[in-house]
Amino acid sequence: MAKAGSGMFKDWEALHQQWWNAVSDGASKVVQGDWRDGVKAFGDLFGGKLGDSTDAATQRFVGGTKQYLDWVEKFSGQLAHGAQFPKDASGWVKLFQGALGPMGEMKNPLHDLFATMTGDGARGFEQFFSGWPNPADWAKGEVQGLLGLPAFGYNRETQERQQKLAAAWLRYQDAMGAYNRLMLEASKGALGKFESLLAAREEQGRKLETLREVYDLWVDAAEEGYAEVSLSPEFRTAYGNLVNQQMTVRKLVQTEVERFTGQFGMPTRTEVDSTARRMQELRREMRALQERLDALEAAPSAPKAAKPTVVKSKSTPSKAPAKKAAARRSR
Amino acid sequence: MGPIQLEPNKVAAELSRFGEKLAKGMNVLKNVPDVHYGASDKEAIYKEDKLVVYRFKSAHKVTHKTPLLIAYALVNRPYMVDLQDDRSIVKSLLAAGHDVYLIDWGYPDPSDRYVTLDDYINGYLRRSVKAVSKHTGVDKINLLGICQGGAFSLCYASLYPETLQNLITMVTPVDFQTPDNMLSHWTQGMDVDLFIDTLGNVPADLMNWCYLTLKPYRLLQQKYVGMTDILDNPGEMENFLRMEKWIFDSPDQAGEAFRQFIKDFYQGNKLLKGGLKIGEKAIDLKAIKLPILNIFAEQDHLVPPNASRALKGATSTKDYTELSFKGGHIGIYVSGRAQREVPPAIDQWLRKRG
Repeated sequence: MAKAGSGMFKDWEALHQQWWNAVSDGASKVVQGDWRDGVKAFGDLFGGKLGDSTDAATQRFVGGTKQYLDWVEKFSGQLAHGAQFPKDASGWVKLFQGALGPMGEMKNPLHDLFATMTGDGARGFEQFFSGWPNPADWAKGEVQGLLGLPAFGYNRETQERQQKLAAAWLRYQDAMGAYNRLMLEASKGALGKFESLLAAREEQGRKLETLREVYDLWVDAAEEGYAEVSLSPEFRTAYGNLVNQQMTVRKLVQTEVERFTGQFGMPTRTEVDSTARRMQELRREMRALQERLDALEAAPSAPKAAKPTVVKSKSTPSKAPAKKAAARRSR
Repeated sequence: MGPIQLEPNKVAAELSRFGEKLAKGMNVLKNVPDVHYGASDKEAIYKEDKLVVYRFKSAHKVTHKTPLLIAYALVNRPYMVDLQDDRSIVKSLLAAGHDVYLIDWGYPDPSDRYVTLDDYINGYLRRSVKAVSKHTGVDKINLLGICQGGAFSLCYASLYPETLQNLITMVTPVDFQTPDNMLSHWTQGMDVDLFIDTLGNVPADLMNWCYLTLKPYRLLQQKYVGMTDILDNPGEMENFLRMEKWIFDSPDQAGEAFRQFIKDFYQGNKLLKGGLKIGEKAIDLKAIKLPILNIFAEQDHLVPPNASRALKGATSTKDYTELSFKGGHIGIYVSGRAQREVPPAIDQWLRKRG
């Protein structure tokens, strides 16, 4: 096994500096500063190309590339700074794990989703609860017990609603915790899968010779680990529970918002829904009547009338036999 | 060195190339034009609420007497079938002499919150078929249903078989509860009533994010790391940006239709097991006797191939054909292999059946 200070490691050390200079040079042509600024500049430009609706894609490009380069820097840096070259799959996984950082953490992908589910305007949902203590603090203060106390007096109903909302929030946090634990399990499982895939390659005599190959194999392993957890009965329960608890909280918040805005004479979600329901019923009735009218007009003795729903085009064939019509249906 | 054999000079070269790509990519991106989609000209032949039925104009002579109507899913935009000049199923079908029509369901807004599956299938889809029949002067048309649009087409075909000549289903789920169906697995524990009562319409962002989290490492990270490989290639970057635009150009989902789709199709698996009703009409796949071509993708992570294969034997047709495509749910429309294999297969199958 090669050791630090040997010729091989001197090569690594020298070349480590060289390649990072190369990456930085490339990035500096994009923007002054290090490669991280360069990647961000790509993101800014990308966003402009794709439009506002794809800001999320822009963030993923910047985030994904940064995480990859962070990992490359740490992984290759370990080799450059004297880490022993592993001789088997297990050793490589340990070295790999040391460099993983955020790239290896399967952060709860639903967290961001719930925060921005209906666009940036819905960030208010997160802000609504931003000042609330976390569940651990609540438990310390025995707040959970207080939520079960009977309400009374002039504000009794308000107090009951608030207790209900707070209790729902606690259940939501519990559900989020259970989901996060499964995500952590998936992340850990990925490393085991990675070792297996490496060992299999070793047995087959297939070597990984580039950092991208190492990264791509890790992604394969990570997806396998994630899929295994995601298809488990535990995940099914945790996922459903998380969604349901979040919806419960959201619904209770909506109720509070409706009460508040209603007091100022503003239209509420319930009213808008009611209008939409009536509108859809009218659409159905209108279409049914239109079709009845069409049928009557199509009857042999019926007078001809305009058919407003069919857009006439130059290429609309007359009521000729099908074969003739087909022959004419070219541009 | 074990399974990983990194050599300093090779890694240095690899990272140097990465740096060069970043530098060159900046210039490429500056000059890549705003991406557009759509290879074929089209005209609207029918409009209703937000729905539009288009007829694609063709430079070729129409040689097939029976027109072909494409019904896409609600969850993405239908222009995927005519994305760009060299990635267009529609263009190939037009070149083969077909008269091709497409349903664009539109973007539901809060006023469409109560649009149901009954409205979509017994209403919009039925009237779209009628409009195409009327436009072409034929009694029966060919229907090509894609993904969720395929499930709709199966329902439609069971109810209105007299209006169809042939049915083609593409990446269409029939058995919604195969063990490898991650999406289905996740929906089983959901209280869909609470979900829709709370959200109203289902936001497009939520749908997109849900799909991305089916393969989060690959779709949220690796894909973008891989993008650096093509940063210096204007043509490839344009294609990439076009795909990004399509992926994230998703309509919100009408709440009531979504509620029933999840409950009856995903949670109840009623399309295959029975008991499904669309409006007041019971759906019975055994009522379908017309010829069926069922096309599915072997690496489909959204609609696993076994979810589609379940169609075999589920209907009463005596003329059932399967086409198994080596690719994924998106590749089946846009990959080079898809262009070579899928439209010719559809054309030849239809050619034999009129």
